[in-house]
Amino acid sequence: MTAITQSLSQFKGSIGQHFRWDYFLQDNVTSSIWLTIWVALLTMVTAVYTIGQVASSPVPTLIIIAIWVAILGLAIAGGLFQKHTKVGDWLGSNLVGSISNALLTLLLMLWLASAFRSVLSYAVINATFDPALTAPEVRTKDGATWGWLAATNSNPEVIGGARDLLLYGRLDRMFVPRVKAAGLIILALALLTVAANKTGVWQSKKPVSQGLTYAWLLSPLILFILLNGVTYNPDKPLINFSTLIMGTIGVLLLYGFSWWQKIVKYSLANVIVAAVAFPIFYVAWRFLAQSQLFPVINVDTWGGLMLTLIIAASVILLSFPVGLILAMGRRSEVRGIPDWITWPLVIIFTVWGFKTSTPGLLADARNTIETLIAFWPILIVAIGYVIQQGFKGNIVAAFSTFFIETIRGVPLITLLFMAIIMAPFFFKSGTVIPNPYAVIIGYTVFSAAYMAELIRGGLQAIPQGQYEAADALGLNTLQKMRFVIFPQALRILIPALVGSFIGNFKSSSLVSIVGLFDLVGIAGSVVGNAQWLGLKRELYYGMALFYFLVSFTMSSYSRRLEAKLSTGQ
Amino acid sequence: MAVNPTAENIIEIRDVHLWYGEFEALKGVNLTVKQGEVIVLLGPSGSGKSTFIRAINRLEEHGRGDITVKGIPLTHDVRDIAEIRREVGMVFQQFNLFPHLTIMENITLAPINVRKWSREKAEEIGMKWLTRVGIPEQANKYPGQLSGGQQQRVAIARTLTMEPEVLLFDEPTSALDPEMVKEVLEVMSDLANEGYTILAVTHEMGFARGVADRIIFMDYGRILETGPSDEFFENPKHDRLKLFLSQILHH
Amino acid sequence: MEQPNQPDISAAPTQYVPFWRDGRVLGVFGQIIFIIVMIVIANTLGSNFASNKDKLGEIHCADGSVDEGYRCAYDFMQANAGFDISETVLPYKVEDSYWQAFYQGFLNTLKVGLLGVILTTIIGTLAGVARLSSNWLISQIALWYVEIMRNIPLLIILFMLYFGVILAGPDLKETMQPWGLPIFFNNRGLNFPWPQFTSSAGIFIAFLVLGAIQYQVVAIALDRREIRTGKSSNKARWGIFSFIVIAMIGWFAASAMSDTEGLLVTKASRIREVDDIERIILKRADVGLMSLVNDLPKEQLAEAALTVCVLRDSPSEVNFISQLRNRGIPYSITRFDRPDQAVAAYGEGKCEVFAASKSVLAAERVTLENPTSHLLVPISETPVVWSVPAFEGLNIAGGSKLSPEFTALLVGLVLFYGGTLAELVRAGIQSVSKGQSEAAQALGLSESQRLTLVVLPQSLKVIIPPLIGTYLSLIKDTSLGLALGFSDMYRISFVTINQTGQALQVVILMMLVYLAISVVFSVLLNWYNAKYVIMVER
Repeated sequence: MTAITQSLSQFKGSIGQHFRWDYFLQDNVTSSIWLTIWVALLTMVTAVYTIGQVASSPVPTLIIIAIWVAILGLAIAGGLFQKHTKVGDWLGSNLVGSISNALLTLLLMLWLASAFRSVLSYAVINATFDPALTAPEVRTKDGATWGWLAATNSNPEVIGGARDLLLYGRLDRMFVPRVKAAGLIILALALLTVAANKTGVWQSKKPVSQGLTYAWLLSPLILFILLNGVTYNPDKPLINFSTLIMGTIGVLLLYGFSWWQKIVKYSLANVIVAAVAFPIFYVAWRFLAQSQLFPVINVDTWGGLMLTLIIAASVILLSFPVGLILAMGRRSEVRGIPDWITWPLVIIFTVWGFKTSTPGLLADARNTIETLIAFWPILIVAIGYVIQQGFKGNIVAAFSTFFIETIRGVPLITLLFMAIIMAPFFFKSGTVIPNPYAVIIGYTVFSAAYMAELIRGGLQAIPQGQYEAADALGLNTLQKMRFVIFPQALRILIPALVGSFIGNFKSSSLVSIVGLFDLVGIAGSVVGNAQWLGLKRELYYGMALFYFLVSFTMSSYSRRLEAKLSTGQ
Repeated sequence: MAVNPTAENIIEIRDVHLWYGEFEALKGVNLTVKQGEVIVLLGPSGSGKSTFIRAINRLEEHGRGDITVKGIPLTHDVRDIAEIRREVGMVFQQFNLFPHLTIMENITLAPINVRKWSREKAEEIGMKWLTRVGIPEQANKYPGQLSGGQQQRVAIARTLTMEPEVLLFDEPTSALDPEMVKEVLEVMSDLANEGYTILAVTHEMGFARGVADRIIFMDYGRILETGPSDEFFENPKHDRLKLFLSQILHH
Repeated sequence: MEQPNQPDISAAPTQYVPFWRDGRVLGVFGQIIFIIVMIVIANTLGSNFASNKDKLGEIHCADGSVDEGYRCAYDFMQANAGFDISETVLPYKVEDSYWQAFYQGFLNTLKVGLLGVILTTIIGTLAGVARLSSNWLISQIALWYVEIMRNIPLLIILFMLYFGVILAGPDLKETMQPWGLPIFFNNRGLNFPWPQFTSSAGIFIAFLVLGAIQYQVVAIALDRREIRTGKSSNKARWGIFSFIVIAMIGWFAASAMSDTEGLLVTKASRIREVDDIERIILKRADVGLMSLVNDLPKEQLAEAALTVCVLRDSPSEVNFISQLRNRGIPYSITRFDRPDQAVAAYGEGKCEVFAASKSVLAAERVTLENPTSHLLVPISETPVVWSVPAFEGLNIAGGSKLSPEFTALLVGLVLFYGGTLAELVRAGIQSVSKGQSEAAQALGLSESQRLTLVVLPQSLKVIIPPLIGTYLSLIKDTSLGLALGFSDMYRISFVTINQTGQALQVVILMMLVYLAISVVFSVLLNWYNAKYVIMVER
């Protein structure tokens, strides 16, 4: 007996050395009245919820409670008896560090388990994968029905077969092989590039990197041929000589400029290539058109996932150069137009405006607003003032800034809508701009404005000393940008750029609002169809999952890239 | 260290004023530099020393007065500016090496693109200078892998590979740990002994006393006193200079 | 200031710079080329536009004439809109003009935008702090919340909320009523009690303003006393106390002075005040307590209930009905659009009580057969009346309603941008160096004090600039309400275009308004940023 009491008191003593009940209570319960109320409330809620869960699904709940007790035990063992284990310590500090924490952990574990169980039962356990269900049968099901993911089937009554619609939209099915070819080409290029990068072949073997770069540069053209087709106008002559000659001269000029700026080396071979490149391309194009190997696809039938990818990819590709131009424009330190030129011009134009147009407008004015509009020449003065004071006469910077801020101030769908409406007005009458192209243009402009701000941030992040060192060494502006600034800026910008790409991919869903049948749009029309009535939830959950997986993968990759780059610095 | 009295004037600065907006940073400075002279500029912070030498290679734009380098006037003429920048080299306090290029690429970038040398010639001369500053083995490393002193020596080699006539130093050792200051100052002394024309803004009094031919003291945008180095430190005339010397020489 | 080495200026430098090499000229030249290019582009676009002008269709002026130029471009907006708007902030009728419809859309956009901004801030801050919680489960849940919101397009989240959750709610017949509270939830919306201002509210608000002034006066007076005597006084407590006193005085004064509402009853009914009604109902039902009355079976309840006639949407409706509800008096209500209809029904005995404003009652009383046998009973009117939703027949009347579209849009925006904000808050809090927290702990500050007094103010510097962009994106994304059918500005514009065909003008107008909202908001937030957040560091 005494042995037991002795060891007990020893035990108590050993605890007492490290552990003070009163401090524990104070920290966890009594230090302030709010804490006490919070702990009491939490205890009540946890107790009620636990009891409810035990009643509704006893077995899983009891398992969770057992796990929780085990965690508590490990943590207590660590803290109380100084038996520290790595796991126990981590559990102790992260899960059950205080009374409220412990209660919260139990509550959350139970809730998560119950949520997980209901999701599982909906999506997997009670789910059906039968594509042969009909719409009324779908409505009777408790769980999810995934049968619509099956490929096309011939029976228009059953739910299977939505997958093709979701992939290609209302594209004429005979063009599907071309679309698949396009997808395969891009996939192959991407895999090759990643492989070359990872194995180091890209860095070591120049032909590989050059070859792949050219392949990537050519890919938009190939994709255009596959996805859009080559228009053939039998009335036009096979070869238009003026186009041929102008194109050749243009390419030669481009080559000359590149050689002068030391972008390419001079050699006879290069000159010959430059001279014949355009004619070869032009003739090849005309023959391709005539052969009708790739007839034109009605771009308005592009739809589904295919349209989403086309839009996202085009916007990503095009918005970078446009954004770059805008960013350089906004940051440009080109000397501005001096005061003594601007103000006289402003005065002249203002007076001219007042003289010629204001009297007429005043006479026609029907209400106060129109009277005010009659005095529009005042705006010229305001604009002149802003340009002089705010931008030191730098019109390039003023215009770029104004353009960027305006685009960023309106919602994307208004821009898309405006692009669709305005497209027929601003091109020569008779030109038809298919909606997808108008949307791509509008979306590119929108994305370029945001991209411009990102790039500007990157350029600003480069220390001023880099610019100065390049200047002091005598490098001119083009050389400075090309060799010193842009390589560094790109390195800084890559995480932000990838984020922007992901954003573009997600926002491409908005084109469905302006009437394009991208993945989201076509899903909306699918559920309208009697055949797939009742599949709304499954469809949207599926799409959400798809977007989540793709975006999450891209952003994880970007985070790894960012970590790799920052350690390299 | 003594300058050949028959040497030409390589830099002529006459009545130069420089404004930052409303603030006048240089209030009428005059200076003539003979070829081979080593000049150190001293003065409290904000006195305009850095602004002064940065005006020489057009990193700052002077508002009034004339600056002539090797007979080329420094005006808005872009061709003249480019030529002057080829002949004037600058070493910065923050080194400003290009972090994404190797040491050799840093050194050869300008000679290839500005002096239009071939890659072989640029690398040969660059290597020669890299060896001269004592770190030929670092040629293929990146600036981030080098110590501060080594980076600054690379910066000096980068400047020298362009074969300039004049070297400007803007507080080259102020950002270095004390152990590394010595190695950079040694390089600068060697260059001075070989007859390079040097204008240096520095706080290193030992260098100023031992290597400089002339010392210039500036404050509030003006040159207050100049003189040969020994006379400068032994017999300061201007009150401001006396105060300055008393502050810095007694620690 | 000696210059021992006088410069030997033998070669006077030339000042002449050939202009084709002059840096200043080249700069200006570049600007001019840019302007020329811009003018050329504008000209091409302009001429193309002019040649396509006939596609716009004819522009008709308000007076019917055809416009040659663009003067009457927006005249069509003065015509009747002809379409209804399901929910509006201010009253709107179908006959209102397109301008007014557009204005309603604008207000709806603002409503969602401002509410969204406030709620997002709360949710985002909570989620951001949760990300840094010491409880691993909590931080993981917050992490996954943020990840889900960052990787799923907003449109899909809105659709999932709308279709998956809200429209899947119970039918009208199965309306949910949690815990017996007067809150009703079905797939047509959420109805909940909401205060409504009555005609006597003006006096009450005047008293509130007085109370606010009083608060200031008390604060200043106590301040002075503090400075004089050095004793600290509880400014807040006394100020609030005096404010409450004045508010209560105002409440009673307003109620007592309100003299505009009344009831028309027959003298025989012996109703002289609302208490009398209670007694009469109790007698009719033959029970002693009002709560027992409501427990009676349906037919008896219907018999005992008070029949009331009111004018639709009049303040007396809300006022009187709420008084009845507050006492638990059962009633059956008939609403009329015009006073003469109501008084006719009253005269026929279809209702025992006609509640309206005194002036209306007085005017209508004379039209009855025997005016003197009817009494005008004044009833009091509290300044603010609690409008409680209740079932009336098949529908729910009263209270305020959140439509599914509005709720889905608001909840979706808040959840989505809450995720973005959570990341900003987390980055901001983490940007405050650990030394600050350590110093706070060394000084003995509690956890919450450390957060609110030391960490959060410094984290604002990092949080606020990107926060401005987030808020603006939220306001602009209210335009996605179109996909849900919420009548925001974009949707109204859309419907207008469909009906009038004048797409270009409407789109330009809408974009200008969005731009204006963005600019105003951005200027405000940037001003706040510059004034309070950016600490000028030496």
